[in-house]
Formats: sequence, C-alpha cells, structure tokens
Amino acid sequence: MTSDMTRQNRLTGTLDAVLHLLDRQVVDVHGRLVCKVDDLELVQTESGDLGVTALLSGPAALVPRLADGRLGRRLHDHWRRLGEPHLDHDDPYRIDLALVAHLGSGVELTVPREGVLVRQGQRGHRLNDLLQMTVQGPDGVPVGRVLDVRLEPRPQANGEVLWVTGLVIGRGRPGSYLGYDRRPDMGPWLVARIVRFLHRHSSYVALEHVQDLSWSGGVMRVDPGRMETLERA
Amino acid sequence: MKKVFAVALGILTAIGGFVDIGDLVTNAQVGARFGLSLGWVVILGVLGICVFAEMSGRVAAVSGRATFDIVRERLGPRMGMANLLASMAVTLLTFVAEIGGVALALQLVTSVSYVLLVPFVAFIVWLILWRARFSVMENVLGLFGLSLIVFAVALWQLGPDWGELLHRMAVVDKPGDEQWRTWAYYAVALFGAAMTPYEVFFFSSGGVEERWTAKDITTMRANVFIGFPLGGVLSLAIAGSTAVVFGPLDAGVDTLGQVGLPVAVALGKIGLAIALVGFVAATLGAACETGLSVGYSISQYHGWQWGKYVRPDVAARFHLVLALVTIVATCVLLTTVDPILVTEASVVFSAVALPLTYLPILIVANDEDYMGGHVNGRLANTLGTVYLGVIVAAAAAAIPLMVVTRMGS
Repeated sequence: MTSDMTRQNRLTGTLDAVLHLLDRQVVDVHGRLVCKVDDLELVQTESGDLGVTALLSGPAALVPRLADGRLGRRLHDHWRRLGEPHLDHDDPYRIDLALVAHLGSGVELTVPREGVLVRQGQRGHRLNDLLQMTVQGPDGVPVGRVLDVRLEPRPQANGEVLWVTGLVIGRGRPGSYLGYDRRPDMGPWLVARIVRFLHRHSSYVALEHVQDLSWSGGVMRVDPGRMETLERA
Repeated sequence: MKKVFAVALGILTAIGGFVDIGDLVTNAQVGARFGLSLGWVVILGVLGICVFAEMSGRVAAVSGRATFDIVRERLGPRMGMANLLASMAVTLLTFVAEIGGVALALQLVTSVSYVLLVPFVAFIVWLILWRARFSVMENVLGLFGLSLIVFAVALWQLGPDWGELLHRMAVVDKPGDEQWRTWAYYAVALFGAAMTPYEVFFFSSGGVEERWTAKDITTMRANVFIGFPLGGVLSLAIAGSTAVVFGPLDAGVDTLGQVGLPVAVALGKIGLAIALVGFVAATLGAACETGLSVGYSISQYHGWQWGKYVRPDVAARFHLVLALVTIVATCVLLTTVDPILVTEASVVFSAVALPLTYLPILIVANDEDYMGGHVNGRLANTLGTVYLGVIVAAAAAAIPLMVVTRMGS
C-alpha cells in the first residue's frame, strides 16, 4: 500500500514519540487495519532510565488522553463510572514492541490481527502521564509542559526498547509543534513562521538533566540553564 | 491504450461526480438572482478544490493514509475529536440534503410526494454502500451524472448575449435591487458548494480504496485538474441558463423543478428527461459519497478497519456506521424538513468547517516523513497558503453573513 519513498523504517534511528508514533494506524501483516496507537507504555528502570516497551490501544488508553481540560475530565469520569463493574475497564490493550516490524506512516506488525489485542495488566507508566506533567524550574515556578519525547532504539536482552533521550519542553499542548521542531525549514513558509513564533520559548532538555520526576505528583524539575535550543537537538 | 481509457474514465467520473445537490441549488439560486456576477466565485472554488484534492490525493497515494488519519496524527485526539464532530455534523447535513435531492428528483418524475420516496431512496443508498463494488458505484453514477451537460446545451440553445454574460463575470458588480451583504452571503455559499469537505474525505479515502501508489499521482492529477474544472463549467452552465430564463422574470429558485426549468424552456421534454437523469445520478452519487465519507472518517479516527475493498464482516464497525447514518438521515427527512433548506444550510456550514481539515493536510503534504520526494512544490505551497487565507476568511464570514442576511432572504 505504501510506496518505496516512505519505506524507511523510523525505528532504526531517533524518533519523536508524539510526532512519529502516537496516534498512528496499526496495520497487521496482511495490511488489515487493527487499531490506533492510543498511548505508549513507559517503563522506568531503577537507574532512572525511561523506555517505551509497548503500544497501548482501546478506550482505556484513549479516554484518559482526552482528559486534558474540563470537558475531557468530565468525559473521563463518566466513562469510568460506566465501567465500574468491570475489573479490567481501565486496562488498555497492549501490543509488545517486539511485534512491530516497521514504522512508517503506519505501524506494521509481524503478526495477523487475529487475537492481537490482549489486556495484559498495568505494567508501567503511560506516555500520557508524562505529557500531562507540569515542568517546574528549581524555584518551583512552572516553565511549561512536555510537548514531545525524543526516543532512541537500543537493543535489549528481550528485544529492542526505545529509550527516552530527552524532552521537548514548552508552552501549548503535546504535538502542537506540528513537526516544525524537527524540520524548521518545512513549508509552507507562513505556517512555519507562525508555528515557530508561537513556540519561540520551547526548548530541549536531555533526560539526565530532569530531576525529581514524580509520577504521583505529576511534576518534574528542570534547570533552565540545562535547556538547549531545539535546532541543535 | 488501457491507461488512456482509465484516465479518460477517471476524468469523466470526476466531471459527473463534481456536481451535487449543493451545486445544483446554489448555482441556480445565484443565477436567478445575480446572473453570472458571482461566476468568479465558482472559478475560485473550483481552483481551491483542485489544490485541496490534489494535496490530499497525493498524501493518500504516497503514504497510504487518508484525511482523518492525518487529522488525528497531526492534531492529536482532543482537537481531532472536536474536528471530527464538526466535520461529521456538516457531512451528515450534506448527506441528508443529497438523499432529499434524490427523492425530490424522483418526485419530479413520479409525482409521488418526496417524503414517501425517502425511505425507498435511503434503502437504495444503503444497499449500494453495502453491496456495490467501489469502482462500479463511482463510474456508473459519475457517467450518468454527465447528463447534466444538457445544461450547457440549453444555455447554448437559449442564445444569450455571450459578451454581456461573460462581462458580468469579469467585473465586481451586483444587480441594483440586491444588497452587498446578500451578494457576499451567496458568494460564501457558492464557495462552500464548490469546496465541500466531504469531497476531500471521499477523494483521499477512495485513493486508498483503489490502492493508489506514487505511480498513480499523474492519473490522479489528470482527474483533478481536468475533471473538476469541467465540472465547474457545468456549475456555470446551470447558473448561466437560470440567469437567462429567470433573470428577466425577477423570480427566485425555491424548488428542484425550477432548477430544471431552463432546460425545459430550451430543449423541451427530451432535454428535461435528460436533466432529470442527471439530477438523480448526481445526487445519488453524492449521497453515496457523503455516506461513505462519514463512515471513512469515523473509522479512520478510531483506527477501525474501513473500506469497501474488504468484506463487510471484516469492516463491521464501518458498515454499522453507514447503516446508522442512513437511518438518521431518513429520520431527519421524514420530519418533512425542506431538503432545499437543508441544502442551503449545508453549503454554508461546509465553508465554516473547511479550515479544520485543510490545515493538517497542507502541513503533512510538506512533511518528508510522509511524502519523501513528493512534498509540495513552490506552486502548491503558494496556492496552498493563498487558499488558507481565503478559506479562513470564508469560514469566519459565513455565520455572521447568514445571520444578518437571514439566509439570503
């Protein structure tokens, strides 16, 4: 279905979680459509490294992502109440990263779609938890939120894992950079200028400079002196 | 030779498929009240839909992703959902108008009240959506839609003062008895009729259905850049022939029968019969396209299997959406709401909803991740940026104009 031009596999180099992976179409080995990448599973090691280990899908992954604002939170609460009797209502479908063959304009799996959507219990955090966090300076003053997460594939004993190398931090919402952070020269000129103007305060910070990452508190601390301009990232 | 045939068939289908109930009604209304003094809007709108459809067709051909995949990938689930709700509300309104249009056209033939015909028409539409092969549906209805060429023949037979007619198109002016704000309202309505969002949802999803690749870009461009402008000529012929017949009478167009009247005046019964075939084919074709567009878009947002290239049981949720929207449209029409009024509303709201899907497509058509070497060139980006301005201006002006002119009355 896709042409040779886009056959290059994104998973072989660095990529951005929101820009290149989130909300993409998942396609099975026969080209049939399976689901969307509604969220990503993030696992934190004892040393503080963060890695993407699986794709999450289904309402249990999508609805919490809509809860970014009052209307969305009400929808989320309502959806949770609707499924109260179900123990696994909050548990999304999990597709292990090892099943992904190729990442282009869609996510191609190595298996047919039959039985691929399985609830496997909560194993780690979600990318959405990270995207909802407030980023504070050392003095506790908010400096923005996480707009995107830069990833790098590194082989692991049990297959490939996408490790987080750094965060794009700024004002606005995740994905609102529309790809102009990665390709500042991308056209059309006027749209590029407007988007880059709106994001003139956005910057990049390597993961090792992120301190006090608190999943329960929903905050992290970043020293503004450690922030780099995006073009160099 | 086979290739030439395929390209010719695509172009003919594009011409026949371009005109729908919105174009029929709006062009006739504008022709009767304003002559061809708003003809430039049709040209502006046709060029706009060419720019938009070419970009979305190219994105679909190269990346295999249709419009609402792109919308969600670029705008995220929240904005994507808001976009989906707005776009689907407008497309559903258009779907209602198209089914009503088929029923009105059949009423002209059978003299049976259109309300009684609506369930029958809706059933036929659902049957086509469920059973008919995509290419058969598109080609048969598109080719029958070509009968609307009878409007061009009628205009020629009416023998207007061509110099006067074309002069009106070239200057910014209006008839003395109309106000400028009414003129502006109908300009936005005509623009919305030419650039209806469903055309792009359908065009890009249809590209995926027909498994376009980068090799098909040339064929796709031939369809867009020859077929759509010739469809625009049909729109102008409808406006022109209505202007010649209704202009001196100082009468407006309120029914589908009056849209066909200039053909009856110029060519008699045979001409009217051909026009009626064109009405039925054009509105039935557009009904199928709008219905499918709702199914395509909702499925693409959620990642469900969609499309007529797989068996219905593989794309069960897609077909469930198609069945549900057909039932909803039937229920709306059975309230005896005037389909012409629904059409008028649908073209104006089309203009409102257009920027929502235009911007993501414009950005992704520039993104090498999706497009490789097929990103927008300088011309596509210049036109794309100019139209971004035009589309945003039309969207912003539409509802205020609708209120102050009381829908153009």
